[in-house]
Amino acid sequence: MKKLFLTITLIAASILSCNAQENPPKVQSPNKIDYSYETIVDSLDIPWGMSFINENDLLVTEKSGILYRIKNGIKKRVRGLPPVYVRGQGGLLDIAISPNYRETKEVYFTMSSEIDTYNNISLLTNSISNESLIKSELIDKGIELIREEYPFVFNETLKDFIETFKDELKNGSDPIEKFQLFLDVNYYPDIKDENDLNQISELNSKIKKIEISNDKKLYDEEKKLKNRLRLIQKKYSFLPQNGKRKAKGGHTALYKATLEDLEIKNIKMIYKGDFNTKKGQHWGSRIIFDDNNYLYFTIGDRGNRDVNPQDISRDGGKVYRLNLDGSIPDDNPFIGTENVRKAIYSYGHRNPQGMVFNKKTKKIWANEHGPKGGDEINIIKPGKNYGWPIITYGINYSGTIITNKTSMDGMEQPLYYWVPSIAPSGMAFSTSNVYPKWKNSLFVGSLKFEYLERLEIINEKIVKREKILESIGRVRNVKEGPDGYLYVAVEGKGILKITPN
Amino acid sequence: MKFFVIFYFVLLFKISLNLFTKKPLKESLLDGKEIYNDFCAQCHLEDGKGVKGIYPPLAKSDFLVNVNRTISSIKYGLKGPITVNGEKYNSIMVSQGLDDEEISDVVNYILNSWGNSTNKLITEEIVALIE
Repeated sequence: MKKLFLTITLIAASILSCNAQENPPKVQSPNKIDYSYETIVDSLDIPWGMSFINENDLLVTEKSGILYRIKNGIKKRVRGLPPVYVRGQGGLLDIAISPNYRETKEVYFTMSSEIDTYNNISLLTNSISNESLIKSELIDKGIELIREEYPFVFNETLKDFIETFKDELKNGSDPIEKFQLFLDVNYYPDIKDENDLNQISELNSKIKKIEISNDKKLYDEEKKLKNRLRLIQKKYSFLPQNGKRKAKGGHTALYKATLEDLEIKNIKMIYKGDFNTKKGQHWGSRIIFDDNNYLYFTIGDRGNRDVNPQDISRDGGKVYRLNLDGSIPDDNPFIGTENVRKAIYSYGHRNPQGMVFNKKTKKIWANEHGPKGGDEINIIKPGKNYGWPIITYGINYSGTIITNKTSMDGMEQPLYYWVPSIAPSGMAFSTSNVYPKWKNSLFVGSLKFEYLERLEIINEKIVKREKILESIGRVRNVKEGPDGYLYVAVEGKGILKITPN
Repeated sequence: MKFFVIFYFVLLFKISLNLFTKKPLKESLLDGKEIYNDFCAQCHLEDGKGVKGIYPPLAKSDFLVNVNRTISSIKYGLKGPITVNGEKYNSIMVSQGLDDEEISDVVNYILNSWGNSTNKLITEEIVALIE
């Protein structure tokens, strides 16, 4: 009897300690490697987002702020992006062509932005008609159009714009075109010094030339020019109304624009996280669509885990859902609730960097970076709380405990959590018949262990994990192309296409 | 009388020192530590030792002898083969988007931590001038 008790204790102890070490199924190396890869795009530093226009036409973002279009193997730079705030883990993030791309040429992209939308919106609450603006029907109409096109514009900016362009507007010039021109030369509206203005426009035109030249050798030069630009603009980083420093830092922004050959046009910010923070962590971000033409995108907790993920009146630590035009769907889960960000679809996330629409089950799958031992795969459901940081299977990277709770009423359990953490980024299902043995498997990039992970799933349970492309480098993204092949974005390398032998 | 003259000059010197030192080292080190743990420690680790062959060390690192190169690699990023303390590294460090003041703080922190020491104070102005 005593012996039996001892054995049971020992078995229980070993199971428990096993659990603490590794969450099954254990990741394996494949018995037989009957596939290889070819590099279809080379020399990329941190390729973050990729979106196929067709199998020979691909858009790729570089985190540093460059958008490439690779057509028939030739990589060219796309110009016209709004200013990217490259900071810590932030920069130019995901890109996705619209489900209606063929008709509209529309694309969506997320990036870190230091535009202070919070202060802009508060300024907008002062009705512009109360201000001493020049009365003119054409000008009023122009303002209306600009506000539609640029929902986050400063009142001060508009006033300055009207001062500068009142005559042109009265004569019937296109207000949007003039406003774009105004923004080009005058990104910081309060710059009055002529010398500074000249320098800014000179630097801007040099930068534009480099953008158009497509010459990678000049990119270092471009960084230096941008640095000089920043130095001048820094002098003006105070609000004109009260002399207070403009809110520092940034947050994730979602943009919609049209792509015309190698130029981004008609840029519209359709969502921006608040409040800006100087923290470098956890911006998300992925953009996907379901088959009802809803757009979903993610923002991470922005390094403020104790406040953001559980507070639905603030951004960060959320999955969002929007209509394609940027409006909020009538049946979003928090639409009837007061004082919330109504674009929120689910919350309690840490840093989701992989998301995919499962065409078979019509469900949204997402992965997120957790703390040590807390990376997760979740099925995203409307209005649900995924628990961070109240519940988690992980601990701090320093080894300290975040919470002892791994579950709680009203909070969702992950479909799977990785112990040890693999640092997951990017996610795709193989739905084609290109790799017969891999059909319906899920693929996730591992930044930390530098391989692509294949997960076999039966009834929404992970039954097998396998390392594909071992030691390939930090895998940032994975996508199934329109041709059914899997494409993998690897840091320092580029885009690789996996080909069966 | 002589005492007062000396006292006067010492006082003058002290005041002028306060006028010209924008940010004292002590404050810069504290801010620098915060920046370091936020942006650098993920790879170079909190003790500055890095990971041999992957992330070069900052603690007692011979790479830091060239302060301008150190500042420039934080400001614009660093790519390609380097040798640090005899070990070869060939990886990418991207620019973290820190402003000049933040870079001066974190460089001061790195140059004065984990056994590193220097008598040079890096200021925002020094960082701004590096291209």
